[in-house]
Formats: sequence, structure tokens, C-alpha cells
Amino acid sequence: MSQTPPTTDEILRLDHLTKHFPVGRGLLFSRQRDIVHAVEDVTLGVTKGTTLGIVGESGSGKTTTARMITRLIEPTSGTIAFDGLDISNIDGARLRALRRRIQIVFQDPSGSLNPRRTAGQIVAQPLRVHDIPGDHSQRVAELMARVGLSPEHITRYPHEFSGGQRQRIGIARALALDPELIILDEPVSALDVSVQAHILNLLDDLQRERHLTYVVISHDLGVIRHISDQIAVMYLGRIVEMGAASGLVDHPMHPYSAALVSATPSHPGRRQSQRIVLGGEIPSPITPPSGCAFHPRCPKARLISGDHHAAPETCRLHTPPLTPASDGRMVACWYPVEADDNLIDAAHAMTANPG
Amino acid sequence: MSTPLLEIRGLSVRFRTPDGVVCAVDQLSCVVERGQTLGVVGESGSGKSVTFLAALQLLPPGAAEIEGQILLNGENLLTRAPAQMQAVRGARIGMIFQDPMSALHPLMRVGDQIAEIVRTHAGASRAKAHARAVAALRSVGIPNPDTRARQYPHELSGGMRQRVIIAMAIVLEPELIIADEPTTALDTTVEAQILELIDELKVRRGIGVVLVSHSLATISSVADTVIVMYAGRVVEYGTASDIFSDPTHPYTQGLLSSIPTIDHGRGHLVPIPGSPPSLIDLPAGCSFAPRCVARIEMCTTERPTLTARTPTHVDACLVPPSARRITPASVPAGTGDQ
Repeated sequence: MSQTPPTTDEILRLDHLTKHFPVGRGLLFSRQRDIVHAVEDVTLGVTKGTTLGIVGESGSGKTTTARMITRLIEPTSGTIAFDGLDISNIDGARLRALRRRIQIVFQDPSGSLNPRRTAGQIVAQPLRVHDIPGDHSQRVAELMARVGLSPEHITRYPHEFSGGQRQRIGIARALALDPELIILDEPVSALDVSVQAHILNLLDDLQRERHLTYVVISHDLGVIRHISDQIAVMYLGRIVEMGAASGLVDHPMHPYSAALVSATPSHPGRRQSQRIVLGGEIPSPITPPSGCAFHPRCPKARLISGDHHAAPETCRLHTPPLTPASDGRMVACWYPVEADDNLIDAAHAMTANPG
Repeated sequence: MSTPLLEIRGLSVRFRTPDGVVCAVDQLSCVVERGQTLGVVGESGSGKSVTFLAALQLLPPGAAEIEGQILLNGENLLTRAPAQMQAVRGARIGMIFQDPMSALHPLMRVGDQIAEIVRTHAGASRAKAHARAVAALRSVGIPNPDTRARQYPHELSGGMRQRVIIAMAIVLEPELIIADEPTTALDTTVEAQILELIDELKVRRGIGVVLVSHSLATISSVADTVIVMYAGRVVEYGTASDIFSDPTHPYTQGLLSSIPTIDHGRGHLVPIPGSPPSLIDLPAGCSFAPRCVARIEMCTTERPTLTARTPTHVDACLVPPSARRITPASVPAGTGDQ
């Protein structure tokens, strides 16, 4: 994390990574352009062979972060280091070489597979693009078998497969070049419930067998909790909390993480009686709120101010930095959640008395 | 005993396709009481949506063969002529669908869209209809309903749009709301807001709610009774605590043990082997048999019928209860992590 020196087995490090997208308003050359603050000052490290889960809702910046890591989009500022090398600005042959080591699996398995190519051609594509010598068909057969597809599937087209099988093809393609890091963007969101578990188990087996590092992006905290060693919670472009998966979910310290955990249904066998229901909506990343971006919706801020209409001045004016808390956790909050905080009632009072 | 709000008796829906007859819903029966939520859970192709499209006569005319009875306050809706059904939809049964953007007219102000329903059904004046539209927006928790009523759908967020859809569904004060995947397109914290709202409407107005979802977690957080569907058939039906704390059908048990949840850490999930069957080519006997770990010989030849396990809990399974799989989900809550 930002204060601790990088460890030797750290494979990925993001330092103050920021992405601003200009959006057109008015004339093309007009000086006044709006800026979408998609990702703001993200700093994190991922240890080799582990999984970092990034969870957040629409507009939180999780997908933009993933795309910067794969260099599909350029960061506005900050650096990305992969295996000790700064990859933020490399291009040409070096970028090509990097792409062999970092692969991505997309959410929508049908949208990311070329409908006019067979499964075998799709899986062989990275081998062709990177001029890998040797017998591709042999390698394709091995990969297909490894992800649980049979040899007769090689000559079939994407539309002949079920959603789960298509995602297996996407995973086989990502494995073709023997990458070290795989970015998984909502890998099971489009799949049926009974199929999700097969894919999650497959990812788990592959990671152990090949010592892969995963960065998993999802809006589903259940999936993230299941697959991750470390979790980063993002809200409006920033990491608000980061730490070991179990600790973060069991005892969230940022009020937003607490609301997200409470809104994620736990095991259906254990019905929870009440949730923290946040009022309002995620603000626009074009005009993020001053200070802490979560302050307009934060129930904890209301407990501190004692006024359900307003957050304390600290929260309204100053952006909280991501700072170390107990047991290796990092949290960006002036008043982290404590055990006896009643956020359910505080959130309810806010929505019952909109200001 | 009083007449239930909605009772479906022996509903079957068949489609003729070039590849053969598809039985999308097979002999489904269920009851929705006033002030209660029935959760209908199943995967793609289980027939959960078709059941209620058929109940509302929203399937294209002539497309499907529908059998059985849909009784709303004891009156069979399937014998109503299409024109008479218009008076039921919207007025007595409100509908909420998954994608709020495609359910709204993009070029019409949201207030006008709600007011149009009032004018069509209740023949109210323009001003009166507008006032009711604004009141409906207020009752679903939309701040500044007067201003919002003058906005177009694209000016609203996903959560706001879904609130507008709910306002449309309740503006005529229906007795029943059918919500098909109402929160699937929404973010987690927005989903919590919408589920809370639907729950509140149920309690405050005594409306009956049918909530159709693929998500066990969504269903478990709001349903009073639950139907589990597989390949067009009901495999288990009971109260929410029957289904989620003591599931008896191997499919329900399998579903519950295969979902990742925030209570469980890393480690292998116990997935259901295989994938759902094609509805054109259903296996003889129990449709779930080919994927069932508890399967016995008769499962592949004989079709199970719904059998009572307790007065509130039925399931369709031929395996003796003692021989069905013990899964993490069937272990009482709080006995540990898997």
C-alpha cells in the first residue's frame, strides 16, 4: 500500500493512477470542457498468485481502472508498474510483449467472441497474432480440454455454445499465451446461477495450477468475496477502502462499504432483517461533491454532526486520504465505522427527512 | 376460507416451433394472498416469466396454447376477451419489468406517461390525471415530483426510472403487482432501495406482489412464499423459510450451495453438474434427473408430482427424503463456513 515499500513478489502496482475524460460541451474548440473524473488517485499493489477484487457500482471507475492496467486506455497521470517495470507509457514492440503477459476476460461472452470464427480459431488467435512458433492445433486442443470443452467443440461456432461454454472459450483464449496476470471484468455476471459456480471453480483451479494473478472487477460483492484475497471498494473514482477480503466484509470500516455489505444479501438461508438503505444516488463524476465524495449520502457523517441534513465540515471540505487502519486495512474516511454505530437508523432518518 | 387474491390452477403454456412443441410451463399452480409477496425463482428457460405473461394475456395472440385457470379474486382471467383484459392490466394488476428504459416512452415526459394511464382507465380530466401522476411519483419516493414529472426518461438515473415504472404500476391502485426482474439492471445499493419500496407498498397498501427473479438472494430478501421452477415445472413450493432454511428438492439444494455469498470465503463452490435441458427434448421422468446427484433408478422413467412435506411445503422428487443430498444450505444457519 502506498506507505509500505513494495514487496519483491508484488506483480502489479498502481501509483496515483488518474483518468479524466474530457466530454464535449459547446463548440469543439471552446475552452470550457467538462471533465469526467473517472478514476482519481488510485494507489494499490497486487501480490503474485493472489486475487484482487475491485467492487463498485456504475460510475465507480472499476472498469476504467482495469482498462488502464491492460493499456487499452491511457492514464491521465500516475503510473502502472508491472513486474517492476513502468508500463504507463510504453508502446510498439514493448507493449506487444506486455500483452502476452497480461490478458483480459470480458463480461459478455458472446459479444467478445467473433461469431464468424470457430472456437478453435478464436483460441488460436493470440498465438497467431504473437507469431508463436510450434503446433497451434495441439496447443488449442490442450487449452480447450483444460477449460472443460471437448475436442468436437473446436470446429463449432460461438452461437452453438451455451453462455457458460462461451465464457470457457474466452478463458481458454486468455490462457493461450501463458499470461501472468489476467483481468476478469464481471466474469460471471451474464451467466445463469448454476453455471456461475462452474466458472468460479475453474478460475480457482487455474490460478493454483499456473500461479496466476487475477484482478477481478464486479458489482457483486458475493462473487468478489468468494474469489478474492484482497478487496478494494471504489466509489466515484476513488478507492474508499481496501484490505483482506474476510476482514473487510465482516467489519467494513468505510460507511459506503458498510452500506454495500448490508445491501448484498447474505446466504439466503439466513435472512437479514434490515439493511442500510442509502438515500439519493451516486453523483455525477463530472461534478463530484467537494470533500469526501460520499458525504451527501453518508449516514455516519450524520451521526457525527447530529443533523440529518448536513455532514460535518471536515467531510464537506476535505478529501480523506486512504490511510492505514488496523490489521493492514486502508480506509479513506474521517470517521470510520465503529461497532456501536447504528447506520441503519441514521440512513433511515436521512431518507425519511430529505433535506 | 376467503378467496385468494390470485390463484393459478394447472397452468400450461405450449409453443409450436419448427423444431417441435415447447412446453414452457407445465401444470403450474400457486396462490398469492393480499399483502404477501410470492417469489418465483428459476434460471433462463425455466418458464418463470412466461407464466405471468400468459396470466396477463401478454403473449402474442395465437402464439401459445394456454390451459388452466388464472383466478383473480375468483374470476378466471383466461376466459376474458382480449379487450376486457385491457381493463384488468394496469388497473387491477400493475406490471413492472426489468429494463426501465425500454418500458418508458423516450419522447414523452414521465408525468404525461403516468397521467395517460389515469386518463385511459379512469377517464379523468387532464388536470386531475396530472395531479394523480405527481402524487404517484411522490409515493414512490421521488424528490421534487412536480419537477420530475416534467422531465424525460433520459434525464433520470436508472433507479429513478425504475421508480417511475413503479409509480405507473401503482397509480391506479391495483390489487396485485407483477414484477419481473425489477432490480436486475440496477446497482446493489439502488436495488436495496427498490426492494424496500416494493416491500413498503405491500405492507402499506396490502397489495399482493409476484416477484420473478433469477436471483435467490433477491427473492430471499423480500418473499413470503417461494416457487422454484425448473424446465417449466414447479419443483418446490413453500414459505420463504421452508425454501431457504430447509430446502428439500435436490435442485434447490444445489442452487443454494452453488451461489457465492458474502458469508463464505474462498474455496470450492458445489456446483450443479451439467446444464439445463432443452425444453424441446425434455428427459423422460424427472427433468432434473440427468443433473441430480441423488438420482435413483425410477427418476429416469417416472415423473414426480408435487407431494406435501409439511402443510406449507411441497416438492416434486421421487428420492426418499433421507437419501437426498445434505448440502451446506440444508445445514441450519450459523453452523459454520464451508
